[in-house]
Amino acid sequence: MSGHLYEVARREVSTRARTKAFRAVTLFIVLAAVAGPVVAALWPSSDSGTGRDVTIAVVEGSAIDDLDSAIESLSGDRLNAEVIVADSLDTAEDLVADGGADVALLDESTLLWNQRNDIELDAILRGAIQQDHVAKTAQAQGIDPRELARLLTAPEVTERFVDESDTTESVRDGVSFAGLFLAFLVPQVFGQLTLMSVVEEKSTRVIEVLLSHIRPRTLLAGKVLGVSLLAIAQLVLLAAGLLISLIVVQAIDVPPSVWRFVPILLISVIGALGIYNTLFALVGSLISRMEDASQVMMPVMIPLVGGYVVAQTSILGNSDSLIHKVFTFFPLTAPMMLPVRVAQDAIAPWEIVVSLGLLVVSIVVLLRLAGRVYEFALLRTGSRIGWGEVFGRLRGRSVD
Amino acid sequence: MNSGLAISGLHKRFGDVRALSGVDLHVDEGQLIGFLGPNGAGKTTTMRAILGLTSLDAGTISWNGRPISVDDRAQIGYMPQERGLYPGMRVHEHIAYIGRLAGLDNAVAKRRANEWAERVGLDGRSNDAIQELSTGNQQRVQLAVALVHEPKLLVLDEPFAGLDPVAVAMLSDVMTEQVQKGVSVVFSSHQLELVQDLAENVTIIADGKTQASGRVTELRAQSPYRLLDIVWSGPAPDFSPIGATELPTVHGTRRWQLLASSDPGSIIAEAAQAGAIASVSYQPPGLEDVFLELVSS
Repeated sequence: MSGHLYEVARREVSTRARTKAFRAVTLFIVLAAVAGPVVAALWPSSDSGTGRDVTIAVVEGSAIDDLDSAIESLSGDRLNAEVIVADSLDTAEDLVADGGADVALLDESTLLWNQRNDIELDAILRGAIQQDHVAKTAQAQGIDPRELARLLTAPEVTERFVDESDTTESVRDGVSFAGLFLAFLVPQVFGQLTLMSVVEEKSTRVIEVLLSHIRPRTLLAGKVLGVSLLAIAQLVLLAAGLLISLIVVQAIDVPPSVWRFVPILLISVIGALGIYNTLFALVGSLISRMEDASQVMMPVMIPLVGGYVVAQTSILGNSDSLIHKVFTFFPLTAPMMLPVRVAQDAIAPWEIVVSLGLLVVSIVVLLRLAGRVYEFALLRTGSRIGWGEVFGRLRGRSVD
Repeated sequence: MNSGLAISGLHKRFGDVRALSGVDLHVDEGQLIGFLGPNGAGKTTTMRAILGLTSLDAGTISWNGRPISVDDRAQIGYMPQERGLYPGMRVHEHIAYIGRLAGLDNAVAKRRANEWAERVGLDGRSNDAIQELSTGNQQRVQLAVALVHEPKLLVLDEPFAGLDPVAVAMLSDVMTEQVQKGVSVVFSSHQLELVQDLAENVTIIADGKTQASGRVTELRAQSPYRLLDIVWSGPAPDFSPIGATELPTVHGTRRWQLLASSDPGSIIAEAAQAGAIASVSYQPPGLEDVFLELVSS
């Protein structure tokens, strides 16, 4: 039994992994995982340290000493200031009026704006003016510049937040969406691969040879296992590529709380593969041609899409409503709902345990039921087997 | 203890269709049986039942005197009527895969796969994907798949269909070799001349029921008819023996169907008076005629 299971799984892995399509998709996934953080690191943004460009016009003769350095020390990397010299007050005013400069420093204490001031730039320029004034005053009174610098050195200020949710919310939601998409996409793609594999065995009649050597439920379980292993291998490659890229590039500062949901996401995706691959295999056994696949797939796709949509509402709004709780425990939607609620920190530990327990039990029960359907459906060719007959068989009623 | 395969009183319905209604079949150890019947007679259903692929409403299938078990079925090599192969798998991989499913360890399965690929004439195509092979070559793969685990019973459903004469000869040789090794072989075919040459014994079914079973020579002898072939030296004379039905002339040989109880001597003497006879033959009808008699009745 276990030998047959292994052989069937091995064949699924080796033959599918050898196809050009699978290799191309895997390569694309790895490249995307590696490239994502690199692109994010290189992409200019307000938080990326390149700063905002501003232009300051200074009327000749009114300049404060070393304005460039003063602005740089006060703004850090938030501003890239360009200082241009205007030969008169009129020129400075024209520059501000036509947008050639954001602000003009008319003399040592007058700033000229167009219509409204730039609060950040205003504060920085005021600071620079103040520093210049203090330095000149100190110099006039014979104070040693080094002593002055020592007196003016302020302690480094750190920031803390009572509610850190604002700072982590965007990352958390982004990770939730990405995880949800994974939990939705992976079982769908690999489930359809399972269905295609079943239909291929029926349509080519190789099933007759197989079933002369192994039991239908072993064939089913081996197929589900093999296709799931393929999916997990791709996920591992995706995760490894992403992780290595993140470490190398140090592009995104992921809050530690987000990582709590990663193991739950992985378990959920594996659970989704188990339950949906089994369902796709079951419905695949009811048909003999791929042309009929869309009809039998519909009942499987409904909970998958439903779970995806409801889980999205959990990210966008309340995660603790009745429908979200129900979907957390319903095995066909749990793989999508569970990781999202964990990422949103909106689930109790007992809910996680019960949800995963129900998922595991459902996979076992479904494998047994699907095995029984497999026994009578695999050798039936021609028209699609109806759900009425399927349920009749499962209730033990012969409909030969 | 009875050796080999014994099938008795198989009954099977598919909804309103009665597929089997009393099939009996016996294949001794090391015996080759031709399993004959018109389309829809129940041959494939019977063969699937032997493999356990079809549940039965009634009847028994025994192997070596006891009800056939899962372990016994693992010793069966099966070649289905509609060829069952994975199009994307390579030839040697496919044969080895089925070998492993049949219980061989990996090394043995690989070795046997290469041996059988060579034996069925595919040694140069071992690394090709199945879908790259012609239909005839795919059937060779199917044969190798059926034989890779050295079965004790071979069940071959229409193995000769679509094969060229070279492949037919190869398959016939392989089947004969297997029988000489003590393997029991049951095969179905509509090529009755081939069956007559290959199998000493046949079982004929029609309408889901066994109509006749035994040695080909005995079945032919049991026919109520005989065939009389006469070739005259010169032009065939106007000759119409009483109580004989003339059949179409084949290559100058005139043929009559007589009742087995008729006296051929008097008819031949009468023919000799009509003209000089070059050759004469008097024999039971061939397997094809026996088959047609049985299934039409």
